[in-house]
Amino acid sequence: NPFDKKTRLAVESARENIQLLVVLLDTNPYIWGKRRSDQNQPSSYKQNLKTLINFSQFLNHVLLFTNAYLSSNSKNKIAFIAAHPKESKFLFPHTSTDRVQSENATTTTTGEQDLLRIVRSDKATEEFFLKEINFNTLRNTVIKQLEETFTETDDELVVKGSSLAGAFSRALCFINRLEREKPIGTTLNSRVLAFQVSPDISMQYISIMNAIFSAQKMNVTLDSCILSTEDSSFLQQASYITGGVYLKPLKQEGLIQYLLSVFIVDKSLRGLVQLPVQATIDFRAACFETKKQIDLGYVCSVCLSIFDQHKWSCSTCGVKFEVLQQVRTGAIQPKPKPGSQPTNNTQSK
Amino acid sequence: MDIDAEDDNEIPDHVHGASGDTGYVWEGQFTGAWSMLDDNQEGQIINDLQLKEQVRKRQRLTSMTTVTDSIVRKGIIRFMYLILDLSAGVLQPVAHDLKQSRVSVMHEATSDFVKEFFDQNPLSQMGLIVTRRGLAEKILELTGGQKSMLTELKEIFDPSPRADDEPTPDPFGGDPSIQNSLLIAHSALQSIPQYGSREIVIAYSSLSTCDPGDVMTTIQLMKDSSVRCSVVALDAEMYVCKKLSHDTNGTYGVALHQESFKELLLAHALPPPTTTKQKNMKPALIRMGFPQRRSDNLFSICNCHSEIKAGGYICPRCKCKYCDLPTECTVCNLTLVSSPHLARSYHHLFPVAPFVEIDAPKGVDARTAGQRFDGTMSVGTDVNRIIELCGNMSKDNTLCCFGCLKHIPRENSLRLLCTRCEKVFCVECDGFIHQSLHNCPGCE
Repeated sequence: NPFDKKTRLAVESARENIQLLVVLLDTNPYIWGKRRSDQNQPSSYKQNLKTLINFSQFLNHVLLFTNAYLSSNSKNKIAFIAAHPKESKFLFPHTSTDRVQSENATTTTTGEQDLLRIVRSDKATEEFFLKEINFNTLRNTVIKQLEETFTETDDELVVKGSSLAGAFSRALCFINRLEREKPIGTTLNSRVLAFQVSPDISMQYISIMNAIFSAQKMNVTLDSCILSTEDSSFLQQASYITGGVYLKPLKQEGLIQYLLSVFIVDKSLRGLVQLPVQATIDFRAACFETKKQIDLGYVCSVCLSIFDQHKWSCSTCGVKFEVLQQVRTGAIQPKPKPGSQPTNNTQSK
Repeated sequence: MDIDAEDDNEIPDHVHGASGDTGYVWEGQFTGAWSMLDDNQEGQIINDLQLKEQVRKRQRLTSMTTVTDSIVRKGIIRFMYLILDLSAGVLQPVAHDLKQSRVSVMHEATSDFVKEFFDQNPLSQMGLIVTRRGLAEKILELTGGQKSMLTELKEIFDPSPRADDEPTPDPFGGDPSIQNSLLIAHSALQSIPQYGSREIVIAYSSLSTCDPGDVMTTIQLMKDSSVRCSVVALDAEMYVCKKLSHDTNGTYGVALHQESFKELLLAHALPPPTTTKQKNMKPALIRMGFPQRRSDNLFSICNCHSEIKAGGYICPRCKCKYCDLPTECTVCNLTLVSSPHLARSYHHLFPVAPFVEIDAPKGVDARTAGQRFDGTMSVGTDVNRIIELCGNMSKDNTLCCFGCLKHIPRENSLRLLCTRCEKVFCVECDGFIHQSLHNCPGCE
């Protein structure tokens, strides 16, 4: 019965519900460029590398997915951020070089004028919420911005890997602003979808974890789609903690099928759909010095650095450790006093 | 209603309105609102209310979170006892200072405090002591479990009615005893390892204490054992509490109204800096295990509930299963944590540098403009470059916030600059970054 109270309530609440998806694209030019050159290689040993897609194919898949996402509900909103090695960059909605163009500047289409108005004042975020996003405008803006991003790349910084933590932090700031400025009575469900091709950088671990905990507090789920050859343990932990989906597609040329069956599903419907789950998540820490994964280790009580062997002073914060219980039981050698003979040792492990 | 004609003998002295006349606290915020407007030289009213609002918000944030740039050693692994005063002071009628009763204010604030404490310090443990009728009682030993603390608090403040018809004993009443509660906490804190930071937070709502002996000797005992005692008071200031917190390097806060009580209490969720006087706190290497999570398809008996459950974490040393982390293995006494738990505390050790304001406040002339940066920037930043950058940017009207893409015009809003990556942020992103995110998006 379409007129019963429960259905009417469901329809009413659905009207006030706005979905926001922020897409993080990893635009590391070194890795994408290497793929393209690998694809062009005729040699047979690189045959298996030909299953990895190059950037233009990848962008086709993503834009097709975006069109489907925007068509599925008129209230769906989307934003794009490129995670580049030097810094992250907003592809859509976009400002030119962080400055707003003056009022008299001519723009190519009225769509772009609207986009600039979005970022210009808080009253215009109402338009962002109320008006539908035009896919053509979006596609043209994204492609144009990506071209600009790639042309202004600095050669030295490329091999470092992309700044996924920076892009994620910016996405969270943007979501925070929209939460604050949304029209009264609407609920905003936000999620972030990250595409990654670069390997994990251990220096970014702390930043990514900070961003993850902040996302968890804000109820933002992070989904990750891994297009590199190795798994990313950072994104595995991120997706697990925030309740998102972690997926490493086996056949990348069919990426659109993975996107349309897994990543298009809203948060509210995820309980009804069978989504890929992670069997084991590697929560083990890595030793700060030897960088290998450890099950059992030692943690400095001052700076929380992790070591896999016993030490007498912490290499991160320089603090010296006192005599331990284990020395008395003989498990560890006592620290030799300067200028004295080493004591004859008991059985030590 | 004519406020001046009211009989103000019953209204306590500490309640004053915004413009100084006596009245109820909630009336105070509506008087004197015109005093916030200024006029410029031509006599026109300057519309900078938005700017003032932002400056006030930022000042509140910076004072609450103590955004400093120097790296200070903090007590990350904390063992804290929360002492609640459930004496007759808590039963004060809904009178002059609070909109809700003191009981509900205490309940709400302590529940929020417990949640925030375990969120910010996942490796720490907390216990509960209450004092009433001249005695002190230890309700809960030191535990890392948030749920047990919350259920005990609910049991005290909002007890469920008993099944049998016996009348429930009155949970509040009598006199509080600071000395007894401190002695109980002290004996309990003696057994913890030396690398931990020992703390006591007292939520006090009376004006006196009823002690069996000399409370000053107990205060001296606390000082010698390097236990950091802090007090958050709902009633007026007391000399005993002041001496206790001062001698043990804690803090003493007196709440003006319920929001300030909650703010003062939540400030203790952040790790305190350790002082050289705490000579008993020696740094040590703690043996910890990092268990892997088992797949949810495998069922086995867990060690914490003795029930068959799916998933769980396996202790690397003795191979017992536990449902939740962080926990201590009951068989081999190994602390089990996962790397996100340690990562939750890293932001205390590597905080984000505070942002500087681009535009100088009104009334500051160009000569002294550079001096406002003294002491606000970390060692190693090029101060002259920052001054030059601020000078150029303050004339620019087209700046957008790097975090949220909002355009921040020159007049009527606060613009903030990160000294390391030289990006501009608005005041909301600044609050979000320093309180919640702990990452500067531009520096990554």
